[in-house]
Amino acid sequence: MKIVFSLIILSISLTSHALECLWWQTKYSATVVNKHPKKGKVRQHPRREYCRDRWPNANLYVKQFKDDPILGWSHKGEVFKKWSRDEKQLILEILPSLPSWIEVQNYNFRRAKDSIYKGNPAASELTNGSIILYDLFFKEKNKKSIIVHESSHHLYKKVAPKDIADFLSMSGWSIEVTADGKVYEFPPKKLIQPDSASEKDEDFANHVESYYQNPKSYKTTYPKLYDFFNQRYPL
Amino acid sequence: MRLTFSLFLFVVSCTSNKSASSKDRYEVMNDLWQNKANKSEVISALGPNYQLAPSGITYSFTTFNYPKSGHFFNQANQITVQFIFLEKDEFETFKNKIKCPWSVEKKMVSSGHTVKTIEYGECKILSLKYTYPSNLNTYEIRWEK
Repeated sequence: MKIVFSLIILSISLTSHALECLWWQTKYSATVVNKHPKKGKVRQHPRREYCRDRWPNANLYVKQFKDDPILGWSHKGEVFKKWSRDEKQLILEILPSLPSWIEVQNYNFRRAKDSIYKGNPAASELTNGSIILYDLFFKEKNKKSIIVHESSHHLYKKVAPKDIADFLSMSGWSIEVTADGKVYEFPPKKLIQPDSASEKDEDFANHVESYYQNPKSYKTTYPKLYDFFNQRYPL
Repeated sequence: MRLTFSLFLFVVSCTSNKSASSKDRYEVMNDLWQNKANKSEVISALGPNYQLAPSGITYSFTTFNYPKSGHFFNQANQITVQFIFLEKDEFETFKNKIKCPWSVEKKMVSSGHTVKTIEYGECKILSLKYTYPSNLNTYEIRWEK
């Protein structure tokens, strides 16, 4: 009877003190340094368990994964889906290694099946700060650069008018004012990527991606733009 | 008595200077629009540092080469279209100074791989429209019939 009672007490105590960590955390056990009470002549070293993020800031970043679709998403035919744990883990490993100017903490990450644009691994939705990663993203080698590219679309929103004008001029965009009072911007003849011609912010994102991915080669090809980005987004 | 008179003059001088010089560019542009100004009246009000454009003139931003405002005329030399690019703070002041019943619509627009929301505002009474974000991440204000 005595033994049974003790076992019950022990199991209650174990249940109430067992520390369970979340999947992006690891359980650690450490000596409580400041409390070394003496029991008789022997000094005790009490140990305490705690959870630590497996990847820096994982506890913050994990809240940025969203499973719900973006309301009013204009890419008709694209299907949003839920994140798998493996996919989240992969992103949690990448995010801490990106430069701080990317402002990772400002975005939410969505998952979708395929882009309506062939060969496109990711997209951005600027109003809600969303970055959408398609199936193709997980097959790409340069995942960091893709996230940098998408982040650059969000960063572009904050670029001051003078800086945009400077970027356009250095990248080779030209401006034309027409008789109906409209200001048109024409893309450079020599493009860093073919889709740079579609929009200024696409060109901007392509440049930031290239600057991040291969700074030495970028500096050789675009010395002025390298300085422009290096002042704002140091590597 | 002398002191009181001097103070009175000082106050008058301050007030009159303020009213003469405190008009922002878009307020001057709004006056020009209301008065159906011609090209020389626009130049007289906004200054001689303009560039020629088809059927009109443009003024650059003071610190970089990009049109800040543009003014376009019909064959009768009457203003038909004007635009100005305003930064966010300037736009807030603009809305406070030029009172107008705005109807505002927001649309989700797809541009390449990016989806963004564009805000369109219209005030029919003053023939005003705005778009945000427009070129250079600014508000584009247009006077257009």
